[in-house]
Amino acid sequence: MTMSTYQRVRSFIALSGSLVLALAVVSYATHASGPDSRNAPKFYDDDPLMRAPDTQDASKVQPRPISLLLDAAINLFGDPGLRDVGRAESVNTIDEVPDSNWFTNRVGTRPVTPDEMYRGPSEDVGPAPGKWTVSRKANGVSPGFTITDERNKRYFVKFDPPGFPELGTGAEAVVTRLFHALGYHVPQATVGTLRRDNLVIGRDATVRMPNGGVRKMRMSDIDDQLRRAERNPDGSYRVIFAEGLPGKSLEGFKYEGTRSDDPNDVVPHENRRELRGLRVFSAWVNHTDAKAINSLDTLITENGRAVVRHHLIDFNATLGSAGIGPRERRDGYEYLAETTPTFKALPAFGFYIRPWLNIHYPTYRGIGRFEAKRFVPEEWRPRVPNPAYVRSRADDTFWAARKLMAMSDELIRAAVKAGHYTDPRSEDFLVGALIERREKIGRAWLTSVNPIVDPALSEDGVLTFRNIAVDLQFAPAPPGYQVTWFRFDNVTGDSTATGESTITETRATAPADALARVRADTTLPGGRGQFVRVDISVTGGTFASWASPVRVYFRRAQDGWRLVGFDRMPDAPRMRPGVVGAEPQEPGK
Amino acid sequence: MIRLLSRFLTAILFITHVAAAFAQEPGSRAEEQARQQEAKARTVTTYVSPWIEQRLLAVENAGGFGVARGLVVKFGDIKRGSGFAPGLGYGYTTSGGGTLAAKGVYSIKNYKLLQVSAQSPPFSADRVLFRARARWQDAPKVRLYPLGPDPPNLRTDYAERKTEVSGEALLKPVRFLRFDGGLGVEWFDTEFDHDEIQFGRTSFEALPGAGADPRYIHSRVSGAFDLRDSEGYTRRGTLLTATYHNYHADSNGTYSFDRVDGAAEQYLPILHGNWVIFLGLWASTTMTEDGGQVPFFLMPDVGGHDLRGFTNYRFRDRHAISWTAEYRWYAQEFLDVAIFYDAGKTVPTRGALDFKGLHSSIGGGVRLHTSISTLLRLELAHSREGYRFLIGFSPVGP
Repeated sequence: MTMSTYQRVRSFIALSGSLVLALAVVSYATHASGPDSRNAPKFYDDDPLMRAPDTQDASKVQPRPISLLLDAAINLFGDPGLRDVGRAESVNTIDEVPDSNWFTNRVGTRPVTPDEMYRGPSEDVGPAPGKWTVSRKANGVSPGFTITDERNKRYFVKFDPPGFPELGTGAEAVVTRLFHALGYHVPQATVGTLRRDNLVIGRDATVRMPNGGVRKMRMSDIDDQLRRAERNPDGSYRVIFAEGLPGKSLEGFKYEGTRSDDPNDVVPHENRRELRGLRVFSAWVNHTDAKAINSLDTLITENGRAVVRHHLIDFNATLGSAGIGPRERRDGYEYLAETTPTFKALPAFGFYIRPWLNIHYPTYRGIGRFEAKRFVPEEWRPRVPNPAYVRSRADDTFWAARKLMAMSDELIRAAVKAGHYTDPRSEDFLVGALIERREKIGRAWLTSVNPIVDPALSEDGVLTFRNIAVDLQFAPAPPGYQVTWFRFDNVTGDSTATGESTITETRATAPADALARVRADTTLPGGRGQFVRVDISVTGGTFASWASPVRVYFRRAQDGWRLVGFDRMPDAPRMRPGVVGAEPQEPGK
Repeated sequence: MIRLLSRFLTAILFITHVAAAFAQEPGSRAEEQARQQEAKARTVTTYVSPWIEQRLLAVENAGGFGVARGLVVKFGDIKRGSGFAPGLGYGYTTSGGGTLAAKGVYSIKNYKLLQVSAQSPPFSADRVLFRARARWQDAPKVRLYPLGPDPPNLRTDYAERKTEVSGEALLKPVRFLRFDGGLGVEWFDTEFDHDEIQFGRTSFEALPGAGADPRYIHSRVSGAFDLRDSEGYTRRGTLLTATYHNYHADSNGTYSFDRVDGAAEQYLPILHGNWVIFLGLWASTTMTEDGGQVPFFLMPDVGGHDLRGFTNYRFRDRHAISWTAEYRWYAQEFLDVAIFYDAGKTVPTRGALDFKGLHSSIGGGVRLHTSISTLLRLELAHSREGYRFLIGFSPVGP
């Protein structure tokens, strides 16, 4: 054996020993927390997440055209989406929707001023004065085209239907602002005036010919569009200027499934809280047309990464407008095809009178068929079943209703003002109707599930919370609340009861040893002992559903107890898509 | 020793990295979500529309089903009584919006149709339109009953072949006014299978135009006052229309004649269209020079489409009148139910063109429709001659 060979053997032995030792160290480190360490903890240190980031490059996402007919047919007759309805998956651990490329918390989370509401999604106030270059005309029933102003800013121009001034443009301006304030990504929409003389045809502007080919656009193509629009007495047109969204258009998103080519789109859309909750907001403003082609995905750059942002667009068929005229009386009350009323009506010789047939609507300019008196939030329907809406559970509608309650009368008036209704009675009526519909929504959906909100646990062990249904006077104060305390093991998920109390106020003190023992356990590895769970239910009272407790989790932090978990329906049965919202899989249970 | 220690530490670092990479648990919620997205990033696939969606998108982008382009399936449009008649068509749309189309249809009763047609682009802001067509139609078994106001229920069939080359111009100066005029050449060839004549050879030979096979220069003009909300499916409005035809038989002047068709329809919606009452009145009259005759196959007829409890062409003569009262109710956005009463007759003299002695039928049915077109009518009608089940693809009326 030579020296070099000896050295190589020694090195090999040393390295092998090192590897074995290292493996032992790593093995200890990864298994030190015991046999349950393979289970994910219920809470991580960064919970609750307030921003859901898109971490992957989505630059390869391609536009996905959606067939209006197929989408409608599938949703009317096919019931697409997951059959088993559980808790929304896009919520954080405190049951809120974090900011994301789907949703940004605004009203109800931070102060929104009437000025901000009136301004809308951006500072943009419409195209700059000067010539506007038409680059593309709209396909479809409603007239419209795309223009570019002298600053090279792009706008989509939409009109009012002939005979119905202010109807579509007013609705679009108002609802754009309301939906933006509620948290959705929407393009800015401003009411303005367009004159034919102000338009020039873009050098590269083309139109699709009836035979599928394209040719250069002519002024007669613009005139064809203008002929289908309501014209002002002075020959101008009242229009909506919808600001072009930044990024590459990827067409719309469906309300079920995920985009197969978007790596960041991992939550089935029908399980997104913000899309389930859209049912409530849509009911509020009678947005019966929230379908795939009225959404738009765009590829944008965020923090140096290409990601997809999801928008709601086209609000001219909201409130009392159907875009091409006042909405049908059926809109909001019955799907385009619905079995039960059809089978009732078929043999009835016309004497099955739908309740919506004899609703009285105001005749104010620009309002169309919109009212509040006969509005029943839980029964409201879009034109075609929406996969996310029919899976909305009581916690989804509660979340949305609570957000809506933060929409003050002043904010509503500011949004309606942006509709620039020329008749003050129209503005007053619309504000009043929206307020009344908001109140009906609160009364319906803030009471349909245990309405405990804002739980907090002070350093000295005093638990406080609010009953929002009572606070907003949608329900009388219940006789009392039951509060059950648990020590919670974040690793195993086990809860150990430590005491319970029945209280008459929305304030309770923790049992003497409940928090002390938790404090004493904070040094356990893996975060096992830093949590306390509190179940709060209502005893007595008007609403049976309030007896099911909400489940609240607090984490011991350096500066006290921090809310880390909230589940409004922890014991909810498995559910299935219903006619308008989720229903228990076994009715009655 | 130091080298050993450094190797040990290096190994520790290396294995820790490997272990971290393969660890089961993320360290944070953000990491957990990032891992889900990372996992999907490894499996992303470009969305490919299914075939049906591609076809529908093509239709939607082209402007709807009414736009002629490419090879399409066609139904019907042969002579009444053909039965189910599928076929193939090919459409070509010009850059200006004009169309060229060809189709061939073959029915379960052996009826055949071949047609080529052309339509100009709309002119003058959709106010003016021109059409032309060449058409060959073979109807081998058309029902024929004796003429007169109350003929016995004796039936034979005849074969009718018609070849037509024609053109027309349509003018719509305002939304509710419509005029059109057309000119064409029409060849008729009729034939009886004598063995099948049930009501006697004498009756057949007495029919005007039997065996004459005239060739016509057919000109017509019509005007319509149309306030209906849509032509294909109507819930409200009025239609008043009249058409004047001149059939000039260039091969045999005996069979030259004029014909006037008139229609009055009123649709009355009640309770926002939950109920619709429809009243329709149709009348046709023919005129000849002294000694002239109207061939039986071009006479006005009643039965089937308008007098639904009777078979197609059940009544046929020089003049005809019929009316319908229909009560329709809303079952669903695309579905109506209707009950109806029809009455009508044909008569040999214009003086007898009144409301006396009308044959009647009653019935009911359902209609599948869109807001602008009737897609399907399923009806059961009853008359003194029994029950009839009808399938239609157009609104009620001649």
